[in-house]
Amino acid sequence: MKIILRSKNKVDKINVEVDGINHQLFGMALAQIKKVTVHQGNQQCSLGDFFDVSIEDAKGKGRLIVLEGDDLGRFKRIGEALEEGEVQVNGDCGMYCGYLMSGGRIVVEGNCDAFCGMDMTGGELVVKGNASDYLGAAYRGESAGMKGGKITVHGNAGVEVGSRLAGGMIVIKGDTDLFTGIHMKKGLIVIEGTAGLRVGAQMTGGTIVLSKGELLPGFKEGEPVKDPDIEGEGFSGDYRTFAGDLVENGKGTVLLKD
Amino acid sequence: MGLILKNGIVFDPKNGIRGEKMDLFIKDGKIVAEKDLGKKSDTIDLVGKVVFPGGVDIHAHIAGSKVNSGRLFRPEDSRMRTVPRTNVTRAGSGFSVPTTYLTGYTYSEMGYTTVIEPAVPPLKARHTHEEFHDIPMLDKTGLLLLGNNHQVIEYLKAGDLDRCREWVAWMLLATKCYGIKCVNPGGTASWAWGKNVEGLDDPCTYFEVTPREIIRGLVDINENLGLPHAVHLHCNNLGAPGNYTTAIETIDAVKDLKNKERSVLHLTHLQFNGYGGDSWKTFESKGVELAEKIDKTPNITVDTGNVCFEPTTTMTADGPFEFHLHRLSKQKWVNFDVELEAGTGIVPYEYKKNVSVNAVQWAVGLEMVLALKDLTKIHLTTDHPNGGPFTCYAEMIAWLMSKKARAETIATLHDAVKSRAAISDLDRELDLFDICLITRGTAQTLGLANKGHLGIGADADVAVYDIGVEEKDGAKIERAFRHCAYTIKGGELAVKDGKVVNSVTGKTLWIDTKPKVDAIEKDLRKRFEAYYSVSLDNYPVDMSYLGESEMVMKRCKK
Repeated sequence: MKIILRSKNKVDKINVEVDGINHQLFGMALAQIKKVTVHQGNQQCSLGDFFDVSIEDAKGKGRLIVLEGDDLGRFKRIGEALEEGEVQVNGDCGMYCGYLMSGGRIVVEGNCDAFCGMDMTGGELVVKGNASDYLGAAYRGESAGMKGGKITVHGNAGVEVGSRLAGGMIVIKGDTDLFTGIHMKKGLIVIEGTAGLRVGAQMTGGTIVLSKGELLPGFKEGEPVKDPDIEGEGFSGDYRTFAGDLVENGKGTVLLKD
Repeated sequence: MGLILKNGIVFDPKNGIRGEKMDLFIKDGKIVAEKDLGKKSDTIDLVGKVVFPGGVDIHAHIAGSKVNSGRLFRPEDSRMRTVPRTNVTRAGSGFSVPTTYLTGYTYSEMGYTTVIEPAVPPLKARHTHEEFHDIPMLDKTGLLLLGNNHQVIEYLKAGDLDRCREWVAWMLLATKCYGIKCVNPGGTASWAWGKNVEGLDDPCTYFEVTPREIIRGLVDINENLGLPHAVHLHCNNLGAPGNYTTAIETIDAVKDLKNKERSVLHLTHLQFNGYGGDSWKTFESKGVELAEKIDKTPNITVDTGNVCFEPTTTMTADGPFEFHLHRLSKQKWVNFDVELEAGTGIVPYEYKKNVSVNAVQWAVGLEMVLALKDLTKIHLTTDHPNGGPFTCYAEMIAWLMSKKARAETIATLHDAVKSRAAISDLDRELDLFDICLITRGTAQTLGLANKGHLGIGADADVAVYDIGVEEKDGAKIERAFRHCAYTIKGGELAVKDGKVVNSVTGKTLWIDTKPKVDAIEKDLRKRFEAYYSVSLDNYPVDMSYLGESEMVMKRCKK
């Protein structure tokens, strides 16, 4: 089953919250999908108000939702609480994409806005462009953030990537802004570009693998390692190792490529 | 247009009315005599229903920066209760720290019409008033945190009660608050150095003033200013095993101070200071002992601070206590230091039935009420949200009115409740008059002459409950007190069949303390110029922040 959602017009006024675009659409009839509730501010609307909806291969085993058309970056909460299947966004996506997802896969061909992949517990989020702030972070006030799954960003990412990370893996192929992995407890963050300042600040566990970056004084250097294997992920080359953040009596590890 | 409430069974302890079938007449927001009603009026027939004055909650953290921080750092609490908007109400969320509008609606659905925010840091008063402004359905006011105010402590250390009195008067007027709140006197001030005080005669860090001196000094000032409410005290050593001795010593510390019209000291959420034993293993209830002490002491009042078995958010200006709780429970923690004035801590907590200490805590609050002879001296609270959200009041009332409901709960609790508390042996069952007294008599303790009763001239704040006078079924009692049949607020019908049907605006209550600024002007300027991060001119909350307001008291010249 392939569900195609083509945006109708430019979104006027404020952004639209489309938290109903997830695995629950599979198995719905076309008319039902059009009636799925979405919100624009305090106005309750239907998915059909913003998208032309069509279904291909209705009886097929595949489970794919494709979003296309203009202004997709104005739609928030795409794939929220996704449990299975795939969501493909042919453009940018708005805030909270993949929030609370526990399974399935979301592929964003463009850039994603802030808070994407937040609090996710499973599944995979792939962003082909850049990611904004708080990627895979904890909801404000939560003591633990992302607990499982994988996020891959092919471009750069903003501030506080993986804040309070409690599991899972985040890979940033470009650079990150300030405070990557702040308050991190478990899991793995890989930054193939340059990490912003204060990377790993107050981390108490988990591992951050860096190509370039400047560490805080709360990290103590240990023995270097070669071709390390972290949680089943292999990394080639020589790495300096650091333990920290000692201001929190942290037992996290940062690997910095030599 | 007037309103007649006809045929209700009325309870009004202040006027000695104990379940009499009678009519009430309302006009222009007041209870009036029938002859003054005018020609046009609506009538609501309340046959078979019980009529109380609107509830007055003497101690519930409903507004201000700490409440807002509780909301911010507990998204899980927000998700526990979400309420969509209706044609007359706004949407809201939050179980133990509900949003402002939801706070007003929920209280109103329970028949409460006035609520006191008991811990306003002076510097945060503007924020508190902004939230008051957003809480509908209720009249409200705040008690000002002064027990750890640096200038107050310095005046008390110097023995300069005259200037201290004017400083307090200036603070109360500048912040548009209603009375003096004192939290862990000396302890929170010491917390700025990571310390606490351990007893009434333990001097606080740096200032070297004892809690006893602070309490007695503030009571003296309270009496000299003629404030409507006693000093509202959160005792030292809160939450610690064996701390009931601190409560007893505190009561004795002011036994020579008198007021003919009201108490001089109100010990708040006393349940949290009602513990015997010397460790968590020997932790036991001293609720009955405290009740005996309260009965014997004429110049104090208390509120209970009951706990219920729900996930909640603790928040208090007792910074060291919250740090201790954070370490004990391993939960997340917020800590504030309000410059020169106060501190705050916030920690999520859940009282659990299978935890011995929590089971005993549950018993302490109920025992204090059930063992007390003079119920005019005690008021029902949960120290919302510390002991549980205010929505638990209905459950508390069921436990107080029904021994069977208590027994059913005791059967589900840790055995410590039987061996280390007296609750299982207490047979008393409160009646509706008693319940009215402990939830409405509050107004007299607060000095709110127009509230908490249904006499001529009283504010037309009325709660109507669908409950039989002799009802003893816990579930029915709880249902009746959780969802009012009707709530009338300021003469307007606000709630019908447990649902808000009309969003009414409440008033902010304040007092005019007429400070003698000349006496403290030099100190004011020095402190603000040298230490405060805001200027003196920007500090006071002006009247525009109060919205609809009522001045309850003007300082008399003595």
